[in-house]
Amino acid sequence: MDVSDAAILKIYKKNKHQGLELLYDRYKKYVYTIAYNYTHNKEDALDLTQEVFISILKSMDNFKEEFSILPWVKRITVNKCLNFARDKKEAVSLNQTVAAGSEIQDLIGAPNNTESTTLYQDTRQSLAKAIKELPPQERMALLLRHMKGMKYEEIARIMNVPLGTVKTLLHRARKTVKVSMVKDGIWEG
Amino acid sequence: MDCKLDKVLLQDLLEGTIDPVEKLFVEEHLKTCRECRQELTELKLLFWDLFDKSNYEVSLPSELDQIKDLILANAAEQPAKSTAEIICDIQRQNIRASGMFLDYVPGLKTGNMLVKESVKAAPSAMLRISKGLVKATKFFLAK
Repeated sequence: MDVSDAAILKIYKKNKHQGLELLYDRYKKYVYTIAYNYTHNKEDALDLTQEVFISILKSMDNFKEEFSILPWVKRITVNKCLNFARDKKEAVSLNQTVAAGSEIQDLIGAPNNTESTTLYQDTRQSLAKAIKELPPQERMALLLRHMKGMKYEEIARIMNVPLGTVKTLLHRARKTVKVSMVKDGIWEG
Repeated sequence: MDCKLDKVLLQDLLEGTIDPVEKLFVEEHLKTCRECRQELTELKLLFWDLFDKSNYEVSLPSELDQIKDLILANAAEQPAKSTAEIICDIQRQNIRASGMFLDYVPGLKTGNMLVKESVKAAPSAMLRISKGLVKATKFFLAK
């Protein structure tokens, strides 16, 4: 079901439970997609989504009706991602995705496929791998610009950095991603 | 082969964030510099892939619904009803349920119709009865 932000706020005033449910359903995809492309890990993305919504719901009562919800959701999502503590950096999860895009748990039972799956890389996987390796700020700027199609000014506002910094972050990020994709031979032939 | 041009300008050219004067300069430069043309081609391919939405598509896992339940349970209880409201609701449901069989009793609907019609036919009688009822209630209240 799709309802407008204003309707959600109105419903929230009458019935918190229903309002929050509508809010969650409306924005879960948005939040999860950013979180997943940022972490490239299902568990982390789910943790992040949960954190984002808990913090949204906590401050929902103070939310002014004249503002719209989306910019607020964006900002919280970006902040949560950037502050995301990478405690699990050293741990290997079975759901973790290897460079070739398949999960480790799939590879364990199928040793014969390992070679062919790691050799084959398509654009999407190569791009994901390159983005994953970027420093957090560069990664976020790149995702907001290219995945979400945001303007430089909007990225600066949401990430709370000067416009010049956004440009620098994007320049560096694109350069790194390009080098990585050239190395993978994505655009050859 | 050792081009000194700041490659950042090529990114800005593609993004349209380049200064107009620099744009003219870069375009002139590209006519003569093979290295930068190669770089620009690669950047174009990069931009194409970066802006390709299908590269970011994710399937939403079922766990998202579990998170929803979890968050909702923590954040907001279902609106609490007063005891009286709950009792009324139960009574209303009971009455509705216990009267459900009436829909299937043969002849009941026709019976109802007949009653209605006869009430219409004798309004004065009904009026008298209802007046009597009103009086009786008043009498009880006064007591």
